[in-house]
Amino acid sequence: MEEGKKPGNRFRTAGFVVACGLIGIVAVVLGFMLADALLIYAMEGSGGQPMLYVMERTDVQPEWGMVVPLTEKDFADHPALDAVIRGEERNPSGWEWGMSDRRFIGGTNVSYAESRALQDTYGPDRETWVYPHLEYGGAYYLVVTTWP
Amino acid sequence: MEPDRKRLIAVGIFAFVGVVLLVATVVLTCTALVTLITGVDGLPQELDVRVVGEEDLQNASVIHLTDRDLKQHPVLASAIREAGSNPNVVKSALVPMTGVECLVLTESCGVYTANAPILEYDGVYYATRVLIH
Repeated sequence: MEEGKKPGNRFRTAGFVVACGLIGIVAVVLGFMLADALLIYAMEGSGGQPMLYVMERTDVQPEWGMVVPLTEKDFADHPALDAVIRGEERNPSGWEWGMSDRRFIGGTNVSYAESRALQDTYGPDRETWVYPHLEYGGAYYLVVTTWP
Repeated sequence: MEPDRKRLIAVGIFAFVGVVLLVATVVLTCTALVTLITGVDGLPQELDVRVVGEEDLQNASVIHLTDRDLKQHPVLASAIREAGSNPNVVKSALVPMTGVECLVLTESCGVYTANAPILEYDGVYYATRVLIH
């Protein structure tokens, strides 16, 4: 051990470095949160128009997993989803276009913040990128959003 | 004692800046890789809409569009508006769209299918196709 360097000093130095590192992590997290909030704010004023789209699928087997029953709380939290699935924005297309086991149910304008919230809640799993199927009234739905 | 204190502060600042740079670099790299791997929205796509006459309908399926349809499909609305905007030239329009929009238009109007139906709006007929770059 070098002269004049006590073990207590080393622990103090190490603790100080760790504390500075943790403050750094907190600063980065806060920085990203601030940047994200500013980005959303700027996008909302950009004139772009995000959309919420809902597709219905027929061949979903609940045993496949990733089936999420929609509750009244989901519809209360996301009025746009409510409007498309069972409200005035419901506008189902025919089954014959594209894949025959799915069809377009409806769509509506949403804000960027709502588009993000819907994507976070009903979007694909972050690891498998598989979309959950939302079950309501015996039908299965997929939720997709745009981010223009 | 004074030099020790200065050294401690220097080490602290170094640790702070180092962690900030490290975490920011890792987060941005991961984000870029995920974006690159998943492609987010796939290849750039364009919706090609062109006005056709009734003689071109033959046995094609026709979808009659409503104002509500166009409101729910801004890309299609934009293309139809653009294709019909200049009566003196070939009436067609190319409008960029995302993969999600292409999927939705395919499922609702069959734009990206082998026998894409003809779309009718306000008495005008439109043929559609999707260009992928």
